[in-house]
Amino acid sequence: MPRAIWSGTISFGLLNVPVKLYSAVSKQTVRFRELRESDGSRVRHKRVAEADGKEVSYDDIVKGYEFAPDQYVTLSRDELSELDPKKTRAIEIKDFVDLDDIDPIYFEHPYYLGPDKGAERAYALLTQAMDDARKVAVARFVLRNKEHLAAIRPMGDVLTMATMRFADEVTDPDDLRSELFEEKPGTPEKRELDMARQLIDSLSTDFEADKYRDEYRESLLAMLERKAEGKEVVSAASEEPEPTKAPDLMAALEESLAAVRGESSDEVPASGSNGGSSGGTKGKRSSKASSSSTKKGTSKSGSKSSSKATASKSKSASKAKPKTKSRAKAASK
Amino acid sequence: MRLTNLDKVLYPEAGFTKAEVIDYYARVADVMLPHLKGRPLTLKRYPDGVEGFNFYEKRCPEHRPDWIKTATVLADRVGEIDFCLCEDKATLVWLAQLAAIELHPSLAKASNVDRPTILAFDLDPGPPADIIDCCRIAVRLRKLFEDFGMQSFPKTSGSKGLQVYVPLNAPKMGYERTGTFAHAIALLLEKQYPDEVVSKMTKKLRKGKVLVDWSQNNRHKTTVAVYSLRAKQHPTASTPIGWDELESALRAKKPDRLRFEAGQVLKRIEKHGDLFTPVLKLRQRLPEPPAPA
Repeated sequence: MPRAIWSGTISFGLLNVPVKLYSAVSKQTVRFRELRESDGSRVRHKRVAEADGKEVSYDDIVKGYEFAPDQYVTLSRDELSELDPKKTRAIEIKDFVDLDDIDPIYFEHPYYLGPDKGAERAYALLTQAMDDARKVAVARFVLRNKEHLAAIRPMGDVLTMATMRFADEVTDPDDLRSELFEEKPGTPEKRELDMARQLIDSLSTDFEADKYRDEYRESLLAMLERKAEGKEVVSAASEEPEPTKAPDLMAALEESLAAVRGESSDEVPASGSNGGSSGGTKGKRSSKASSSSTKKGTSKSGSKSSSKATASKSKSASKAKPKTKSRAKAASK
Repeated sequence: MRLTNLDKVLYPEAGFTKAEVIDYYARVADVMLPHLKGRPLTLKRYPDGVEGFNFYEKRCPEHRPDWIKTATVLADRVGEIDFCLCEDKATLVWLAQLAAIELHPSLAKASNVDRPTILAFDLDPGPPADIIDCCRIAVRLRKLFEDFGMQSFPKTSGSKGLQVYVPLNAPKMGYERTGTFAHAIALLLEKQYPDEVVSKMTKKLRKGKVLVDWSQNNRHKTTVAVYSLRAKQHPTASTPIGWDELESALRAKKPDRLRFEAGQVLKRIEKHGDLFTPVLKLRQRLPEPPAPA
């Protein structure tokens, strides 16, 4: 359960809504520690002075701004803190705008805002009013000594807040034009455009965020898990691009067929208009199939693992590849 | 459109002429066209008859009349290809005039080339296995799909084997699913009947067995059209048959009952209409895969 990382008050006009801030993302990167190869000792980083190689303690460090090569102006921590934005707990709404007006390039980090104790009503009021108006609030607030611009918008009955980049932090593509285009792009022909449009249309679909996964992380975790179990890892991360899943599916189909036939062998779905049933083969087949059968319930939840077992027995199962794959899935949870 | 060389014999052994090929296609048009409608068409042309030089043609011939419809499809390596679309009798006759004896449409329509409307199996017998062995496998295939609550429809390939079509006509479908599913079904049959079925293309494995060819369920493959003539010794055609016919041929072990030449096909159409009509419209869902990846 993530805890609130900050609390403050949304203020606009006469309305004040005390809120708590939660990060809306949990970074899923795999983190490594540095170890010495020979004995696995943890490696520590020290700050040392270039002048004499001696360690410098945190308290003795000042910050320097290099205004010319090797020439610095220094600022002490005290001097810096004078410049700190006022320690305010306000999330000050400046404007309400249309979401479409904010280019996604401005968005930085997403947060959720929850009502602080006693502020539930005001929170719900603000959320619903913004939802009704279909507007996004642009606000300023200070988090960790840094002034932030943020966009607050309702997502269902929850307010989200995304910190935003300031305009001067975003590079104008015109400044990069000569880098972006080595040569001047020509004007596309209508025929080409039509084809590209067709291609786009054929790939057009609704965005489903969970369709896209970090496959590198999944296979990395799978490899780590195998190593942790003491198994040799040769090239688990370099699977063939698309190992056939047909043997897996085959085993699953076999099971569900056995279930269908075992449970309701007399209830065969209507066949084509041109009739003629294959009564003779039916009995033979179902007994054959059900020898490897499980109950329907089992095959549903446990189909992955049991199908794997069946598949690995059959000659056509493709080595250990499906195993690696399902491992990756388990590890990602 | 000018029809030329009408007297040319395209099937020497049967003495079947180009005029007869054109006549067949003109008369089969009403039942055949719905199965070609909207589908990128690959032509197999036999300018010198079935015994002569032949070639597959995906690109619709450049020198076509301006009323021939085409569909531009993006192919992997070669860029875009304008395929012929065959949607009216005139086009069908024009194709026959080109000696495009065999017509091989895509399992998907040009409007969405990645969405097959059909799951297809090609049952190809390795001698000494024959179409009767294919019938036995087809019956099992049918039973498998019945157990999934799905109907399937058989046709002769017009050559040695049989094809079983499972209509899908489902909005969200892709070759990845149909291909994998068909492969799984082929593996299942192979596992259950190892002496009778192979799922791999390798020719030498096929001897005396039936290849359940699942690989047609691929964007780059085509399957011979229902009612298309085949370039064999005689003008046989890929003919839809009823399961009852198939089973009675199987019981009687009479392969000849499942061999139909142009004239017979036309007579069957008069009698039965188009047995493949359900393939056009019947909407069926594939069973869901075990767990989405």
